[in-house]
Amino acid sequence: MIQFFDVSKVYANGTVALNRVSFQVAKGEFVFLVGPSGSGKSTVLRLITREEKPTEGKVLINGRNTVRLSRREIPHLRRKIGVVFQDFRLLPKLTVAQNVAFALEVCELPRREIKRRVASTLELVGLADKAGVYPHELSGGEQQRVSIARAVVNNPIVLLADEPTGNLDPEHSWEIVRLLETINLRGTTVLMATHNDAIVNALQRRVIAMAEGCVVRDELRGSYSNEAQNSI
Amino acid sequence: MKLRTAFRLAGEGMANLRTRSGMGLTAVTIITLAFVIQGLFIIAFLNLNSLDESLTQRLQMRVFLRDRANPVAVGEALSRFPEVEAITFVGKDEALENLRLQLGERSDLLDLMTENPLPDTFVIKVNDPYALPQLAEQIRSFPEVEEVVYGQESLGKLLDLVTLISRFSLLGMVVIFLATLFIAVNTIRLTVIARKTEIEIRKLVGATSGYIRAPFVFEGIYMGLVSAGLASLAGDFLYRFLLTRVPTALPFLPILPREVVVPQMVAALFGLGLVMGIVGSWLSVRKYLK
Ligand SMILES: Nc1ncnc2c1ncn2[C@@H]1O[C@H](COP(=O)(O)OP(=O)(O)OP(=O)(O)O)[C@@H](O)[C@H]1O
Ligand SMILES: [Mg+2]
Repeated sequence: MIQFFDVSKVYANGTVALNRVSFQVAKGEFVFLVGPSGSGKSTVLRLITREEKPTEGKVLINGRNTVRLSRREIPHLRRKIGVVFQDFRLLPKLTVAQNVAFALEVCELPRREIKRRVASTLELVGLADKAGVYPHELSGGEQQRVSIARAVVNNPIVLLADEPTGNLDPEHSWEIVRLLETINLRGTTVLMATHNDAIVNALQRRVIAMAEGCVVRDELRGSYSNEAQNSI
Repeated sequence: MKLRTAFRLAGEGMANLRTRSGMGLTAVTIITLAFVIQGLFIIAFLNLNSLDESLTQRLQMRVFLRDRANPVAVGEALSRFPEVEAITFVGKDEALENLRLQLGERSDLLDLMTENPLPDTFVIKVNDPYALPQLAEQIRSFPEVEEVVYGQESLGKLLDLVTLISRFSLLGMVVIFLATLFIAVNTIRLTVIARKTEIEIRKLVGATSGYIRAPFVFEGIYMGLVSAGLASLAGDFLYRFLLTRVPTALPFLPILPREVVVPQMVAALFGLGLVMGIVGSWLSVRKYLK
């Protein structure tokens, strides 16, 4: 469903962020993307959402080459992809429900349908009782759950999470990861870039490890680093 | 885009303007002032154009033929001059009829005459006022021609001046328009920057460019239309004032009636306001849509 073929990315300033990266992710998989800072994890995610184009190679989403997408098709690709960031990116002047509805308004769904889906998604992330509350009245973990709700409210086929636990304490981090697992169980592919070794090691999911723009390890039941694996 | 969505985004544009109302008010004030000047340029332009036209009409030459001259042959000879733009033939009977109409009640004077004293006449329009004297000289030498008369040459100089001023006012209109566009772009850009996160999230959740742009386009349109409306009121007021003063202060200057000028000025201002709003907002968000 997500296919990278010999993808290289050189940014305008000459930085080589990716160097001949190849991997495939099937529908329904849960994948951790690990690696030191600057190894190119966020770049991989930005290539999937087509915020960036590959300098060389091909990125296919559901069999479609993202470079070939026209300007009018890109929004439709993005409606099938949910994205979550470390810094939540909620709109402070909108309530929780309005923040989640934001993603559906763009698709011009009928108002009643929006209401229905927002309510059921807030139920899913466990924030049904906070619908009318503003983001600053929530804890970091709750804010991240709102941002996850916004990412999945449109039933995307894939959820991309870029260090979603980066700003959270271990307890809240676990909450978020369990939520991502629940979403994954409902059939959504999840790709999570993270520095959180405890979570990666505990979950024993597929791990794609990157270093200096290359994929250095791709294991089906992997851990955060080689050493960690050796010590088990 | 669905109509319902368009309405919602139109409301959002209004909200954008209201939350930054201080800035919006400043921009609308400046744009209104600029549009008032724009309106004055439009007023000047329309009047100068009509003056230009009436002056050009006066730049005509009358060629009176001798009795028994053949008008067809002369007409052909006249139309061969390159300076001649148009020729109209006024036969002596027609000329008499015209005279009768001009005299009105006193036309019975004409009944005293036993035969028509008026000659066959050609009315010639020239394309270059400066060619008049020389052309008249040449035509006078035709044996069939009795006399040639034409308007003053000085009219030509005046015409040149009027054309120049009217071109200048057109240039002024362009400059003012660009200035208002500049103000609109920079005002809307401030809103765009304030809404950067929203734009980013909208892009990420799959909003089309049109959807993202819409609130800003509406914001621009509101600014343009409000400014155009206020400037129209001011322009109408100013024109009515001019109409009370110009005829007495400068009696030789013909000035068009309000019914002719004001509707055209209002239409032009609203058109410019609309274009300014749309183009301005387009330019302001362009950078953030890539
Ligand atoms: N827009 C950009 N322009 C230029 N260089 C960039 C840009 N974005 C990222 N880079 C560079 O590309 C490389 C990979 O960056 P990327 O953000 O993908 O790394 P990362 O693995 O996500 O790092 P982190 O763990 O710190 O988030 C880095 O060297 C970074 O400086
Ligand atoms: Mg990153």
